[in-house]
Amino acid sequence: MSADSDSAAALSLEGGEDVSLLDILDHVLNSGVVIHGSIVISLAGVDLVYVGLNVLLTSVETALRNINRGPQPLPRTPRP
Amino acid sequence: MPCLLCCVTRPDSSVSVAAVICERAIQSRALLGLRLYWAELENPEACLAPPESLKKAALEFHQVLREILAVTTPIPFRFPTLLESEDVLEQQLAPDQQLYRDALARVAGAVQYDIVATWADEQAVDRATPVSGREYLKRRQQSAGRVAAVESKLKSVTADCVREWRGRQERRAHRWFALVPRECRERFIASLRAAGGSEGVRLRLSGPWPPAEFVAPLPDHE
Repeated sequence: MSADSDSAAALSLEGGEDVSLLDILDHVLNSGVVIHGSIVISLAGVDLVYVGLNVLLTSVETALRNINRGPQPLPRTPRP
Repeated sequence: MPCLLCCVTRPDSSVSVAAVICERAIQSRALLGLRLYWAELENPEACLAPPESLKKAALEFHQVLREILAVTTPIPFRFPTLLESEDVLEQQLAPDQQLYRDALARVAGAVQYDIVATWADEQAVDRATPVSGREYLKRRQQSAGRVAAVESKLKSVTADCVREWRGRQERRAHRWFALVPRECRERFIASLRAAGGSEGVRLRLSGPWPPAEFVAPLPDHE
């Protein structure tokens, strides 16, 4: 693979445009496998996926209070 | 120590990843006929809870996937997926191990490109104002018609260099995902560029990405 093709380069088929930070974050946060049995908590608009992590869940609740948002457990169908 | 899962690949290619996540090196291990990549995070809360740290970690995660994708095809985990410790890796992967193996076989040697189509007049539509049922159906029909036209064109100009297509309608855009063999990448992009634009539609291509949209088999393959 060339260095050019290795990068997550984007092009607009009409005009030119670089891949944006938003593209990357969208991919990282919204695609990928969710392990069976995961617990998903939305933190500042980002879904965090936890698997069997009770201690951390408590910590996240603290963080949620710190940013003045309530915990929002989301129902989610495990993927794939 | 908690583990942030990155991805699974086939077990035969071990990638030495230079990128780090939250200053922690990426580790890998072959298990269950897969190779798993992860980072041990001593304090996940400090790394992932503050929004700026979370964004930084997400970009580092992306960099890890890029390095692996340059060598082999990974199936990424949704960021951030955290396990309690390395000791439970096998236990958590075991239930879906066959699914991972099947998916890795299906996407082997390929990468994903995204194409997003937006229409200038669609962007201008005022969705807040109620319309009649007839007008709504008319708009839906028009929208479906032009999506089908673009899809047909995309598929015809890239017919010899795409292994599989998938698509998804979004609120004001339509998104296609192309599974492209590595050796066809340049031809795929050249074919799209050569096809030229269609009036009123803007197509935006990005990639290569890990083929996350192709992990689940199509319904008729199940």
